[in-house]
Amino acid sequence: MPRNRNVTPVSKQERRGALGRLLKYVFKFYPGLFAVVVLCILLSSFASTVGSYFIGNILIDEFLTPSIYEVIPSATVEGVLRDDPASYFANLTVMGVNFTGAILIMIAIFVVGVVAGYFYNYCMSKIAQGVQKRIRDQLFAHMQDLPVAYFDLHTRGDIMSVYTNDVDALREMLARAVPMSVSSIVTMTVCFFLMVRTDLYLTLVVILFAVLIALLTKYFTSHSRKYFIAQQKELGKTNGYIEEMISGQKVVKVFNYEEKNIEGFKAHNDALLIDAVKANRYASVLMPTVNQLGNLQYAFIALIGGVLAVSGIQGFALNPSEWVHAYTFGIITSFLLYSKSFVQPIGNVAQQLNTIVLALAASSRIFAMIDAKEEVDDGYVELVNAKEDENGNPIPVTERTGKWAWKHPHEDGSITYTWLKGKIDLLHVDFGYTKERVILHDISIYAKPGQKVAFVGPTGAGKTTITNLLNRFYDIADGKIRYDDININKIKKADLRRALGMVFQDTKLFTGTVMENIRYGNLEASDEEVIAAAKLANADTFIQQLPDGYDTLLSNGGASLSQGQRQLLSIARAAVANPPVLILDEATSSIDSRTEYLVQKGMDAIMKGRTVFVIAHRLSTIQNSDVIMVLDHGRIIERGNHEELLALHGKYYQLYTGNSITEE
Amino acid sequence: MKTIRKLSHYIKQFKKDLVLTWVLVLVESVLEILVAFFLQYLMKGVQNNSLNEVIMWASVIASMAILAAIMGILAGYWSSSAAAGFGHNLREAMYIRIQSYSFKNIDKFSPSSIVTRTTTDVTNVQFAFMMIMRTVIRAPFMMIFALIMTFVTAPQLAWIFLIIIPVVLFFLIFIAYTTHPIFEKVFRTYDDLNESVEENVDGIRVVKSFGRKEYHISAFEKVSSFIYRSFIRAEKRIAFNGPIMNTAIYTAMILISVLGSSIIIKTSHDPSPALQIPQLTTLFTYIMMILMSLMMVSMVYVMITIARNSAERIVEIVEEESDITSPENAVTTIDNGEVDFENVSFAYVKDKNVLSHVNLHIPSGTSVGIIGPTGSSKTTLVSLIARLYDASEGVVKVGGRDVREYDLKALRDSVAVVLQKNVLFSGTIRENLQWGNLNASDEEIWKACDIAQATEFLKAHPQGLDKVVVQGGTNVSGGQKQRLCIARALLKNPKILILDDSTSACDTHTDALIREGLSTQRKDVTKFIIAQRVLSIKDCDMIIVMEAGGEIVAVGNNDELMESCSVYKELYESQLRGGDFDAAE
Repeated sequence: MPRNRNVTPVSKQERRGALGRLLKYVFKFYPGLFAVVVLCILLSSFASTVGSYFIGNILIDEFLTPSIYEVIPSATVEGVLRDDPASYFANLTVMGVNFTGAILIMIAIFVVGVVAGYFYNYCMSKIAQGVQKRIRDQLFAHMQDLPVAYFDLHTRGDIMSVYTNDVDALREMLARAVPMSVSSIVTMTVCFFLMVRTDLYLTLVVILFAVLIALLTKYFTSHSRKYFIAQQKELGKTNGYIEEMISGQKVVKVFNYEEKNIEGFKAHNDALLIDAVKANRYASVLMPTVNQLGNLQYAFIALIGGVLAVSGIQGFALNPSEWVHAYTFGIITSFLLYSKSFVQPIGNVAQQLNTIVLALAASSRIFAMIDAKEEVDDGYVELVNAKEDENGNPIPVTERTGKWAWKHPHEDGSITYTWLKGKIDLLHVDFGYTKERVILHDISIYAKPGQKVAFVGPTGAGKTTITNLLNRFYDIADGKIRYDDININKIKKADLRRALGMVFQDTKLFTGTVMENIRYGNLEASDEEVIAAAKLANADTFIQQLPDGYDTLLSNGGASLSQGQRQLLSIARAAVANPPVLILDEATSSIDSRTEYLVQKGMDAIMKGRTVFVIAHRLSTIQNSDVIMVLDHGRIIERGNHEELLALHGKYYQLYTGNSITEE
Repeated sequence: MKTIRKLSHYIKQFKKDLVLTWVLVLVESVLEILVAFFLQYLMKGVQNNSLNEVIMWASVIASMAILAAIMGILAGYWSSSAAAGFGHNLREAMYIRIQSYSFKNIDKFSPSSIVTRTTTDVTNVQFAFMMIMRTVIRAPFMMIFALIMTFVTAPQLAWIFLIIIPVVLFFLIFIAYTTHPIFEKVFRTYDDLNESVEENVDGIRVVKSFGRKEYHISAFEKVSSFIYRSFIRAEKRIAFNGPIMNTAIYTAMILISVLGSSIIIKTSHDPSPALQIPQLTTLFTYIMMILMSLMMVSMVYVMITIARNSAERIVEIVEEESDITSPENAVTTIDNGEVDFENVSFAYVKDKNVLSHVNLHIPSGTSVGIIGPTGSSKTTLVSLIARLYDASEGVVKVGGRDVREYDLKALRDSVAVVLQKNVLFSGTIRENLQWGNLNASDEEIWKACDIAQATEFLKAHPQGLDKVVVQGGTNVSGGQKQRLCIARALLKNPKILILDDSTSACDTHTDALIREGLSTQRKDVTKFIIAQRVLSIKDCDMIIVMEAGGEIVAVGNNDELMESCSVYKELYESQLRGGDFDAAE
């Protein structure tokens, strides 16, 4: 269905490449089914063509005409009426088969055709659905490995459009356009074969018409495509306008802007009308033209056949039993039927052409996403469950112990194990989202296990960016980051991230129960552990008050909860993960005072005994931090504890006393 | 059906195109049938070896085909404008209707749903309309004509069709009918699929932080497998469509071959034989025509069921009545900025009051600060002044008159609201600011910007007022956006100005400058300032302190409240002790 598609231009080569890859999916995953499809298409097209052959060449030519007329050799085509056609007909056999036998054979062929028709329809949709499912699953799985930067560059809308519009377009093509094209080709081939077997002159006439129709179709479709793309563009613009204005509809109301707004809309909508009419005209003029060319061809073949028959000219056919023949009524009749079956598919394929072009463009976008570079992970240091030996050193175990150790393989083949402690060092780190613009300069931070490091500074100073480097959402440009004295580049990303708990400022909840959302932090956690974490995070009280307690279903990102409640869940989630290092982004926006109090308590509770990096907005957090980093324009401009910084009388002092006069 | 009738109303000026299409399609169908009918005479000519007959009938057929082609082309011509025009009108009718919506109407549908309805749903309906328009005439008439012709040609055999047609029709409709619920379910599951992708994209940082790749993949595959299985279940039935048609065609072929042959043989000696070979051929052509029409009928049925949901959603939009309209003989001038709340209650949902029995008298020119936690109905309270919502009980007065007596446009011109969730639109800064006053000169614009503290960053930008804001305003920072929105509201020259948390992204210094500008340069304007920071409102003439649930705790100026209101005092002390570490920009 033509939805609001982004018409990203896709080159011809890309489209061809996409077609090849698409077919690979079909051949690779469904070789058997696809073979069945091809076989069944052959059988079903064969049956329908044989039907025409039977009526023209057998029923009329071999049974009816000879039974009614006695053909006098070398006389005109018209014969003399037989005396007793009924008994002649009853005894007549063609290739050793009488009329009843012929009908029975036809029934058998038709049954095969019908059954084959069912299977090819069914199998083809199975393939189409299967390929669609595979591609969807593959897209989703691949997406999980894409770097965070990919999501900065591509909007959610663009990504969604690949999953919905593009995958749909693809299925449409595989399920409808491909089988129709294949069966059209088969039908045309069989027809062509039968035509040359029947008569060469008339075949030539049919071919001429077919070429004419093909040329016309090409002309119309290439023109209509041009307008079609123009229409899609205009539709995109109109829908974009609607989207923008409706999203701001309340502002429109407040400013009495309705009339101007309607004016603006009409300009887009009217322009769209003009393009839509043009695009549709080319497309809807084609079908009747092709249909009637088919009828014209009919008249022509009858005319030429009739003239040939009347003038007694001999015809030629590629038929070993009868190379030369006279133009009989039967020959002309079968030709009329063949010509129709031969020409009709051209129109059908033409109709599918736009679907195919659109689907190939869609596939190119799909493959572009599948081909997008994954996050590189060449870490080899892993996190494993461990228990203490008699000296207090870690020994790896398979069962869950709640204690973790780094498994560090060395070049000489030996493996060492060290306890996971939570020591973080940043040494002269530089970073920029692009090479040209460095936004963090020479950042050095040393955090011993259990220490609390607070970042303060104006928006845009780079506080969040630093935390995104610790878990390797982005890779640093220069310098080193170490976790427990291991360069984080050597640690497997999944394990590094498991060792770092994150509480984001805007909480993301997933569709599922409250219990599931908290357990998200540690899938192995028991219900009791989840509830204990919720209690620790101060979330238990409000959860108990929800309609179904911990089994309350959250949807829409937990829209039914307040912002503060969502944040409590996110804290509980981090608590159940129980990491030695925690990164917290405190809420800035005011939540109602009671929940804010709970959030503070929750945050304080889970900070205990961990190394914490906190982007701090609250005085209490800042005051009791072991070290406070004051950031400005990507540099640490002051560092120290609360008292030390106040004594400095610098930026921190300004911020603290509220005498801030600098505006960024 | 009711939905279709309602929608058909929007064809309007394209009715002519539609009627023309139908007439032309009708003529085209008749001509096509005639082509098939005259074919038998052409065949007879061939059989009789008469060149004259052949030439005559061939030219008759050729001219009919050409005529039919012309009709078809013209029909395509008109049908295109009818279909595109229909979509155009639908979109326009919806859009105009939406403009009359009140806030309550907008809340009811949610903007994103309104957008889907005006875009995707219209496209779906327009597409279905175009597919159906021709067929809805062509298919039944083709079938009827062809059926009549079979009776004319071979009355002894025509009964075959009378059996086959209803049987096929039954099966086709049965399949469409039974698969429809499966499809409905699949489409609903699609929403789940989209949701899980959306959530994943949105929360990708959370997913990565917790290393929950497999968790999401397995959940996604569960949904995608369900869709796969449901589709296969539906396709199992739908795959019968083709074979059913073929069975019908083949059955008709065999029956006509057997019965037709016997009639031909038996009556070949009659002076005027009941059936001759050429007629037999024509009958085969009619088989194809009739069954093609049947196929089209079932297609129309499927198209209608698919488009039905979209159509219903469109009708909901155009039938929604706005609950706030200007009264007759409305007052168009607002005398002054005096605001009164007289025993005002308000509920979004019936009987769940979020404001109860509010009584306030605010003289013109007062500056009013409103403070309180989220959910304390601060926004609701001020929304009633511009009649964004109507009070459920009591009277809100502006300039001494019930707001419901004013012309809406006049009222909202005098009451400027800077919404909490504000937007700029794509276009230049100047265009955006001119929303406040279409005829505002640059001088006036700069003056408003001065008060809103927007001048400095605008002047720093090389293009100044001509800087282009992109859609969603993502190239303007939060604080800048807020200042531009205030300037835009100031350009209206309002008697009442409402700032709903409009400086939250600005630093305290800028915030102070804006307030200072307002109090010196817009002295006579009644100002309502909703804020989170005590600092932003402490100098107001009147401060309203609200608590969760919409309760007004206290009203008074800073000094009075510090004396009498413990809630205010606590807020004051907790916020103004120590600096503001959330200093933005």
